[in-house]
Amino acid sequence: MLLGVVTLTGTALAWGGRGHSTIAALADRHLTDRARKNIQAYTGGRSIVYFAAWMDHNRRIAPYEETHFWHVDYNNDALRKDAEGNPAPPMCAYQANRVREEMTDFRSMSDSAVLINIKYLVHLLGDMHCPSHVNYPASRAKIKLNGKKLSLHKVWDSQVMGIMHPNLGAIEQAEMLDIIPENEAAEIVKGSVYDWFAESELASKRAVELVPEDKNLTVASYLLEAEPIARLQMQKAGLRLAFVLNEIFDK
Amino acid sequence: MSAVCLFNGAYAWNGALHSAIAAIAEANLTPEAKSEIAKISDNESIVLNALWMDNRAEVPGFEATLNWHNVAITKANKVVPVKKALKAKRDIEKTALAFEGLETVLKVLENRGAHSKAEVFAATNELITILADLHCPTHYIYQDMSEADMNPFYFQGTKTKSEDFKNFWEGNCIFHSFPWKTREFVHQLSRKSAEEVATLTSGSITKWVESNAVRYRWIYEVLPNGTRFKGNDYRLWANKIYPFSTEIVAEAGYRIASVLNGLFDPAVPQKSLK
Repeated sequence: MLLGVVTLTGTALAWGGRGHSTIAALADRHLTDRARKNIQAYTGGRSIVYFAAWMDHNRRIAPYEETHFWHVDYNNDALRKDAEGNPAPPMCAYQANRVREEMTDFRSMSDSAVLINIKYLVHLLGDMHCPSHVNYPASRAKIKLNGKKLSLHKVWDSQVMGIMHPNLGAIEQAEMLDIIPENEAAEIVKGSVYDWFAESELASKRAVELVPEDKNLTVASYLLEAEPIARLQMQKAGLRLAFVLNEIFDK
Repeated sequence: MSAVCLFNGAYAWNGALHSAIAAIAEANLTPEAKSEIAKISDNESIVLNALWMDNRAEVPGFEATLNWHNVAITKANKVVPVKKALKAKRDIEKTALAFEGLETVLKVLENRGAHSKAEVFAATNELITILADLHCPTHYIYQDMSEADMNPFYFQGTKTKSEDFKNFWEGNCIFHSFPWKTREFVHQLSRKSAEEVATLTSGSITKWVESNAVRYRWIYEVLPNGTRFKGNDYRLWANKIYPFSTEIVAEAGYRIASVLNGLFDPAVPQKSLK
């Protein structure tokens, strides 16, 4: 059995459905008119937000079972081989990069292939910015959240933003996050998918370092410092998703 | 009384979906209609009052509204006239009087000059709730189906307690897939072209309901009573449901807008009930 199968059990929904929708809604605000029009020709007029959690809804369903393993990626601390020495399957950053490259020639693809790749990009660009989706033992540590046993992974999937902003929907969160000045946004979208994932690794390490000694996470002991990290990662994810989609579809 | 009320699903769509439907409707009002409605509501949004009728179900003077949530449907998918519904053997049909509600509130709204502002305000809010309910599949009482068949239950997984199908259709049909709030519903679902809206809102209110009656039977076909979902079956099933449920929420919003536009904007043709 591949190591990935073991380590990925219970990966849940990265960012949660609301987080993924927030990232897509933020990206939607930065799509060019031309890119949005071209995208909607494949989505039947739907917003990209509609597909934000599609990969989570279909990860265990035929014929998409292989995508179950695409939601996280490894950092340098992670084992990349199984007990037999077989390499672990390609993951989130790899798949996001692969789809991004394939889509440069989207007009030669079938409509259904373009649509599925839109769904992949919308989700994977989100997942690869979630600190808990940098997959190594410390990022999956068992902790307590307000006294309740949980994995650190789940805290970052949905609890950080969920607890700190319980009443905001995705549209409100996207508006709240859409405050990066243009010059900073231009810097954020520079680099490759792998450069972006390297930043997620740093965010993930910080998420681990912030865990208090007693491993009991509360607003005061953890979430107040965690929330700005989550917020920045979502901002980066939204801006980069828009950048990639504009790069592909604004032509 | 409360047993009857709960069995009939008096609260129809849950509060979040009533608000979502009203918000989609509001997004599609003409400026004239929006302005006229604002005059009678003291500038309150129709979204704020999406649950107005539900919240008054047990208030003296509003007792009749308790029966305005459901509609009785014949085997041939026709609306059962109110007089016939009242003579039905089953309580579930006798209390399916949404069309009594529609006739009552439309009389007020079509003759606004003869009524007080409070009466017009109440009728507007009631109209919005009734039309929303008439786009909720569990509010269709089919004469050819038993009460048990219209109240199926299901299990998620092998260890869970059974879950009520009505609860699923009144909110979880969407919220188990999308954690949307009101503005997200508008963003996601208020996207139809003018042509699509014209097609969707053509015909009378009765025609809409009878067309819905045909389509909504599907909910009982896709979930036989006592279904036990194992493994990923529930997710697979939920994925099949949400395109349908999100679409009918959108349809409710657009159609409510078309009725309100017809009533409050002289430039828009009025929708007929029959």
